[in-house]
Amino acid sequence: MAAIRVDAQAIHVLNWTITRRRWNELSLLVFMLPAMLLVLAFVIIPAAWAIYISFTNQALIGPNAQNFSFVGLENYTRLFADDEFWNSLTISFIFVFGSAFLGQFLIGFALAVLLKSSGLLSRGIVGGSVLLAWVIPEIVAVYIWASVLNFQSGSANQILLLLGLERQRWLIDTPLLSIILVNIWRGTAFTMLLFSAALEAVPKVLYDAAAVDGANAWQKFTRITLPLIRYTILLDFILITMGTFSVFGIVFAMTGGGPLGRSEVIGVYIYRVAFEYREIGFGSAASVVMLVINLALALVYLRFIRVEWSEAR
Amino acid sequence: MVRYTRLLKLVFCFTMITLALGLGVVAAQDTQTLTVSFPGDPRSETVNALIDAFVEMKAEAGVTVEVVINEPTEGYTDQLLLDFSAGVGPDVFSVSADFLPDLVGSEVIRPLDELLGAWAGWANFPQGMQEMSAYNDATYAVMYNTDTRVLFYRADVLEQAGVELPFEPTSWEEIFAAAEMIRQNVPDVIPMEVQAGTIWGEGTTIDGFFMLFRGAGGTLFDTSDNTWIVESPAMLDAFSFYERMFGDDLSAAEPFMEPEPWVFFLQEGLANGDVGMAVVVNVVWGLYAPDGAWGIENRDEVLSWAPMPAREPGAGINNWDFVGMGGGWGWAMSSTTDNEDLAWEFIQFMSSPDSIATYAEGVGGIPTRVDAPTDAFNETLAAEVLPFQSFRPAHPDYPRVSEQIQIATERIMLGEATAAEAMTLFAEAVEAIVGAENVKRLPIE
Repeated sequence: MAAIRVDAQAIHVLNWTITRRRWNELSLLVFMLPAMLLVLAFVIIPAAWAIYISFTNQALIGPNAQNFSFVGLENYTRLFADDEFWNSLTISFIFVFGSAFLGQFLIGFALAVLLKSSGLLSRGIVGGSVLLAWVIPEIVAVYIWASVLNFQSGSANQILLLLGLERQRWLIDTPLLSIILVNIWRGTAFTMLLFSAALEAVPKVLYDAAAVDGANAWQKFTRITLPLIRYTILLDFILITMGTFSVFGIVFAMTGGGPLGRSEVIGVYIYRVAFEYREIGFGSAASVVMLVINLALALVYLRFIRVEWSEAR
Repeated sequence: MVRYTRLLKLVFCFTMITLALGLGVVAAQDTQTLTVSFPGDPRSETVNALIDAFVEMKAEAGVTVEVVINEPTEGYTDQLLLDFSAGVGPDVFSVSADFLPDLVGSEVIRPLDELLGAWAGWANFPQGMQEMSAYNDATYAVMYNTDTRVLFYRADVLEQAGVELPFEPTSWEEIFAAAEMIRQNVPDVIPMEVQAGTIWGEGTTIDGFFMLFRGAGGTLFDTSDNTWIVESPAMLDAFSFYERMFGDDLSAAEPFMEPEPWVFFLQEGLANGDVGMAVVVNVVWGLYAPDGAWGIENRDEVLSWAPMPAREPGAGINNWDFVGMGGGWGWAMSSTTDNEDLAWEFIQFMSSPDSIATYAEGVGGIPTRVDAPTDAFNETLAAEVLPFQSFRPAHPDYPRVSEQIQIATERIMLGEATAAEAMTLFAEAVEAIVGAENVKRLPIE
């Protein structure tokens, strides 16, 4: 008797018999296993660990570094009583609304629509330059913008001077606006790409048929384009709000959250309490709140999408 | 039967491989391994060369040493702390003196007193250098490099402004007077730079605030009763210096709020003569050398320096006429090392007169040993500034108090608070951090 025997319905190894169907499931699992292990090791376990740490007084230094203890909800009560935390949360919401919704979404969408109907050359130039902002590293983007917004010699102020206007203290008087602008500049390409792809997928015959029925451009847009790319709109919203909510590098390098906390988004706040004050437990509590907000947003969106799917069926 | 034979073969192979690996590990134990952490670039090249020399020295003595190097260029202390908390801390590490109390509190650093007692080299470290690495009656590191802060100035700018050279101010008034002359006579130049704001981080506290605060006789932490002095005449004087500097247009606020203000003020400003005077760490002297990272072709003609004066002669801490703020780096041993002899040998090697001189030459700063050769600039510093050297408080709460100092200077700089208001806000913030029982306010006349 051979060790391994295969027939049409099943695989026999020694004394075991595995049905074809089971075998397929098993092999799927085996192929997914490495990815699942990575997710487990680098996403799930750290997240669970952060939740655990958020209930302790662990610090990076001092007696609580090695021998930390469970403190229950103390970190959370402290967090919710901390004005700086609420400040950072408020700023994060303004940042997300201004940068993700007003900026990346509307501009990216508009660009995608305009580029679709424009010529090949302008498409290449505009699309390419928007894309360029997205592919350069975050820190390089910060340096570019720091030189644009520089008070003494920045190009923004040079333009104002040419127009006969006064220099602006961009990073002092309008720090939040400045980082919103930088993030829009950087993030718009993503939305543009996503919608360009979605728009390409809308069958041209629908527009032709609508034209025959005498629809104008606006009607075509609202009656054909929008309904057909609803799913993409939702997906884009999920991705950019979550992405923008977690932005850290741009803000940290650009303003450091300042002046006096006026551009301190939640990511920068967490960095400050966890690494500058070295209170890992407390910082983890703030991260957990951030995680919960992100999850809540995701759930709301997923709920919409599910409605979409069931309608589609 | 066939399949069992195959299985046996497999088991046999597996066992042999495991055994071979095991033997390999045993054989490799002839090599001693030492893990070393230090902040990387721009120190990397010099420290690595010293480490190579150590390995070579051991090889000549017939011992193979493998040094595992960990040299983050950003967030060195964060990295070190995370390594320790993850249980993978190094055997030996470089440590900034002000960071010692935290490491002692974390119980990750080993006291060196009995080793130092048996080491002939220790006597060549002046008392100040020995005390810099001491905390709670124990010594935790061997300092290999120290620094101070002085008033650098552009001789060409001051000359153009009509200030008499050499510029040797003995009071703040003379500094303000010179700055005012620059403002009027060389309008394109920012007259002076004293570090302010949160972006510059700890530099604002040690290079800026403390250089003024000590010059007004200030003490931030009273070791006699372990309280933070959150309001004092000296603090008001220091904050008033900022208020006057920004209020009278003798500096520029905006660049302090932009990324990397040191590039604007020092790497470019002072190097190109766009900034007249700056209170800065002495290490920049080496950076400004014609072949240095911030090279000024004719450095010795255009760049000069003077010790930072107290508010008036005798107004400084200990009734000093001048002030210097010190920091420094030392080599320390982790409390968890199982390689103590080699670690101590390494520290001794890195703290030899030659190694210390090599480091100061390659990286900058002042050698910590009296028998380490050095250059004329450092010798003058040692004679004129180091006698007036003082240090920041060694206390676990210091980083947060320091941040509040930076915030106070930022408020003044942005014109959002007067010196007095900024001090009141500072006092309230520190009280909230350390507790009302740990602060005190001195009467303001």
